[in-house]
Amino acid sequence: MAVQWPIVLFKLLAGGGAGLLGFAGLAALLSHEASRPWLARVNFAAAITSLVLVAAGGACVLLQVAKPAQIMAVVRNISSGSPISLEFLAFAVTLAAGVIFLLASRVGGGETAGEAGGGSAVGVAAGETGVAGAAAAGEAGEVGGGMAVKIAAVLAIAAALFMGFMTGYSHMAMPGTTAWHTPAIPVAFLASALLLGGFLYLLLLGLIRGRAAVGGDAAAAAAAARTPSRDIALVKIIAISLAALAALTIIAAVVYGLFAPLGDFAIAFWLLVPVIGGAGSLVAAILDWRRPASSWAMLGLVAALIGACVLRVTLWLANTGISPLLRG
Amino acid sequence: MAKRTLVIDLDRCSGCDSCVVACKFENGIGLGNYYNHVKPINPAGKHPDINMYWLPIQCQQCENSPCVAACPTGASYRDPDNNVVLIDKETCTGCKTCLAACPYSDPTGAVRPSVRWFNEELGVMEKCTLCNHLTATSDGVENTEDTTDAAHAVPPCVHNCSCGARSFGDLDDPASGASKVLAAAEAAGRGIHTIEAEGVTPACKYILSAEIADWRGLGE
Ligand code: SF4
Ligand code: SF4
Ligand code: SF4
Repeated sequence: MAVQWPIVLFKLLAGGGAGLLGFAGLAALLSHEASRPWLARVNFAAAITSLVLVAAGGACVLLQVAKPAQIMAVVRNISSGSPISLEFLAFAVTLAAGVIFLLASRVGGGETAGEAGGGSAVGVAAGETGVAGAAAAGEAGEVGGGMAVKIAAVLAIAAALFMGFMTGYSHMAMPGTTAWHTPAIPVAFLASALLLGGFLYLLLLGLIRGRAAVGGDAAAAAAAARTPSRDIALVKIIAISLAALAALTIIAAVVYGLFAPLGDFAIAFWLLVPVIGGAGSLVAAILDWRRPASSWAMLGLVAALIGACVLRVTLWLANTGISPLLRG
Repeated sequence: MAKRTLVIDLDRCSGCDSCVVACKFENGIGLGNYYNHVKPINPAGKHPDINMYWLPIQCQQCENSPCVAACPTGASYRDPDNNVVLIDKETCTGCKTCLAACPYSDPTGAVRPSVRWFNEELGVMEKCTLCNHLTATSDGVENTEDTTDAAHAVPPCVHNCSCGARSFGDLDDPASGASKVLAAAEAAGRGIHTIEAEGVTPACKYILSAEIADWRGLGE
């Protein structure tokens, strides 16, 4: 069976991007007041990255359809409730949640507003402008923005769950396609998409917090230095969530593997999905939980990516149905 | 709700492919593609008691039509007047979702023949239309004096079947061509079968008498 690569890429990019947004939302909800300025920068970057990933996933779908100009027909037909319509709805909701989160982070997070003021340009002058802007906008933001960020964060988490689940549900919901007819698919797709997003979030967090600490941004560095234990606690909560998601990925992948007609693909599936993708991510998440470091997040991301990719490819490699019997 | 379909008598089918040729001619289908095809179901049993049959396959007009339910654009639809499962090629984006949804089709389009197949040239999905452009209002009891009589037209694969194995009509109308053939087969105690697949209830029926061959569906 020929693998439908544009669809695999859509599910990886949109699912992973949504997962990233979900973890940004989680971090925003759990964040301590003192760490909010630099966390807002992380979340700003996470929201931008998420939007880029989800949009890139959407662009991949255009490679799948033969008549991209006709794509508006999907929008017109959205109320049909077809599994793909629902997946499209999840895609649109995720993009909207990403934009809302981005805007809310700018209002509610002083640093991000500062970043907007100073731009991302390097250099002392630009940096100072940024910090000044941050201070002003930060104070105003805390008053009206705190609630906005929280609402946007809840929306972001809901969108991540909806998107991740729908990337698998759209396959499960096809009643005539026996090999896809298991709830293990949406569960495995959701868990593995969130894993991708979570590890990506930890990497972004390390990158931006690390940069702040080495002096790129004085206010952020100061804020980070004031609350190291809370930051570590946040990373630990994310890491432990990732460990739970990795465990869920393993269980769902095993159930799916036992259900699907894997055939010649069995060894590759078992090795790459539950072992590398699931157990590999689990080990990386536990290591990151015990001793937070970006290298563990990177290790987890690579393992999760391998598992997530092979899991999605399996949809086509282990789905012959009765179609081979149709040949004359 | 009308249940329009083909009913095919496998006791009569000789595997001559006349229906395939008639269908391709009527619907302008190019080399390598088919709305229908005939599969030989290989001999089974022990010499001299061997049996086989020919199985013509096309869209089974599933009662729950998962292809329609899966289509994100509404291009796969049921004719609001006669309930036939059709594809609106103007609306179809060529996303191939329906290929995965139809259990009688290859989900990737790599296997041909397939009940649904992707027309690369037009970028749209294709399948048997029950020749709705000719038969939309027909009862399937052919007027042999005037084969263009819309009230009694049959699809070209039915008209041109050299062994009289095919019939067409609404199974919810006892007076239709297909219903009459089915009722006669039932009265004679002949086997009536469907190509079973999980998740669908195909409307298309196959008649096969036990003394001709054992029903083995699509075979191996
Ligand atoms: S056989 Fe396939 S194309 Fe025809 S109605 Fe059933 S699911 Fe649709
Ligand atoms: S290929 Fe066409 S008919 Fe099939 S699901 Fe996509 S839009 Fe609908
Ligand atoms: S009913 Fe028409 S489209 Fe269908 S197999 Fe017969 S000739 Fe072809």
